[in-house]
Amino acid sequence: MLSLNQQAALRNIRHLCPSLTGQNAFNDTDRDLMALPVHHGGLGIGNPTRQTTTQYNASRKVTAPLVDLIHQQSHTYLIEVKAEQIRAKNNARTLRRHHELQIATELADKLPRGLQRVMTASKEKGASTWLSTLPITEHGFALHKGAFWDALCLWNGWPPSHLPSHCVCGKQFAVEHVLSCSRGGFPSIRHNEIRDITADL
Amino acid sequence: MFMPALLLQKPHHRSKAKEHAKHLNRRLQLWNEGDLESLVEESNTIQRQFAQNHNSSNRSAQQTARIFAKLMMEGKVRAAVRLIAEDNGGGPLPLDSLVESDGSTATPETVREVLLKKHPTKQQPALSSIITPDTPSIEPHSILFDRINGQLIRNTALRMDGAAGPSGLDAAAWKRFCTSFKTASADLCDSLASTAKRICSCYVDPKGMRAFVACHLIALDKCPGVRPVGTGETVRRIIVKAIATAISDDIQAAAGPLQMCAGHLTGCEAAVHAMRQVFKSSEGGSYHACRCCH
Repeated sequence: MLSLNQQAALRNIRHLCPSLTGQNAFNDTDRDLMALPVHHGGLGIGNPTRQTTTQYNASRKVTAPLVDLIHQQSHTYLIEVKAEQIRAKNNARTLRRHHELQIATELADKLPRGLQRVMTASKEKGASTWLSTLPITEHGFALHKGAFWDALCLWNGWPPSHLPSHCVCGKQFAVEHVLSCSRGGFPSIRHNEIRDITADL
Repeated sequence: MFMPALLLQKPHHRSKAKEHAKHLNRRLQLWNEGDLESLVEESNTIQRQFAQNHNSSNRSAQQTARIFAKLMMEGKVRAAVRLIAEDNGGGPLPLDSLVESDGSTATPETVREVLLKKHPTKQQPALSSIITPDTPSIEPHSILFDRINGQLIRNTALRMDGAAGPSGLDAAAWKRFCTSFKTASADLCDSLASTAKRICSCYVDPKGMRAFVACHLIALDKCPGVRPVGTGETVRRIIVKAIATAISDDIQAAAGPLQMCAGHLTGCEAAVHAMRQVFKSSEGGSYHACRCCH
């Protein structure tokens, strides 16, 4: 039986996820995928009900040397105490990363083939930087709501909303076809953007 | 100290760079002629044009969302979060506005009167706080501050955040000064590093440091009540932070493990865990909690 706080947290996150992604249907696997860090294909929106115990134990271990000094009311702070804390922090970070990798691997087995490819692609160096960078307009890092939703759909293999039924070439409108259709225009747009960026340099 | 505030004000919120250059040239001419009265009058006129009501309680949810998005798009994450934090309280209070009495007086008081009341009265210094000629002292060797260089100043300026002091230059302005002007920025960072090393290693006449340690007193609305907040110069905060980075281990060793404000790793977290264990233990009761929670 979940406590009132846990129920409230789950409710808020269940409202947050659809408005953040533009997707109305969210199952537990999608939620678990969102909780993964960006370099594992997630969005980094952790699930507090699952992380609190691990984080509390890690906090106890990292602060243990300093807590002992407070209990003793000692006035001497040796540099070895800080070194011990840094070691404990590194151990906690290693354990957390190992745990995340384990969850990502278990989750990948449950996902359809397309999403497994997405998760593999997101682990490439720099592939998920667009999600963790500050959205600063001055440097061109800002995406408006529609662009962010579309980017998330492409990232997770969801169908974007408000798509036409057919491409201009007559074939069924699908993301994979449209990105490579020579009559549709997207290859030209990509080529022109690269040309313009190179010219600006 | 007032030169940036008088010369760099935008004439209106939609003005363009060409107008800024034209007004700056005119204002520099007035400054060189010594006509400060005209500059102050111009500055006051511009200030009066600002909208009087910036009170956050009158802002709609849509306006708040728009301002939040604008601050995030400029990279000002902390200001954006502060905007939507519910325990923000009110904004700054003008000195002549009236506030509710705290019960000690029958009539409402002005903010100026409340601030004067909060200022402590003059007292004789305690003998223990005065350094006499025969007090043993250990002078740190100047080599300790040798690692304060232009690169450290630049990195520290990039991590700074916060409002402007009396000069009107906030953290964003100093970030630009220290990074955006090629060799001039590098020279500025090196000069600040030399200043930091000089302050740490030799005597500097306090009269020469007045502008450096100048502070801007602001009255914030505690809803109800008045909270006095002092904002020092950003350049002072940059130099002090750089010095603290260079000798952080020594500061923490000198402060000891009970003074968490010295920057100990996970200091406040450790204090919370320690108190929690004490309250849970069978001994419980009184503890020197105040000594470790400064």
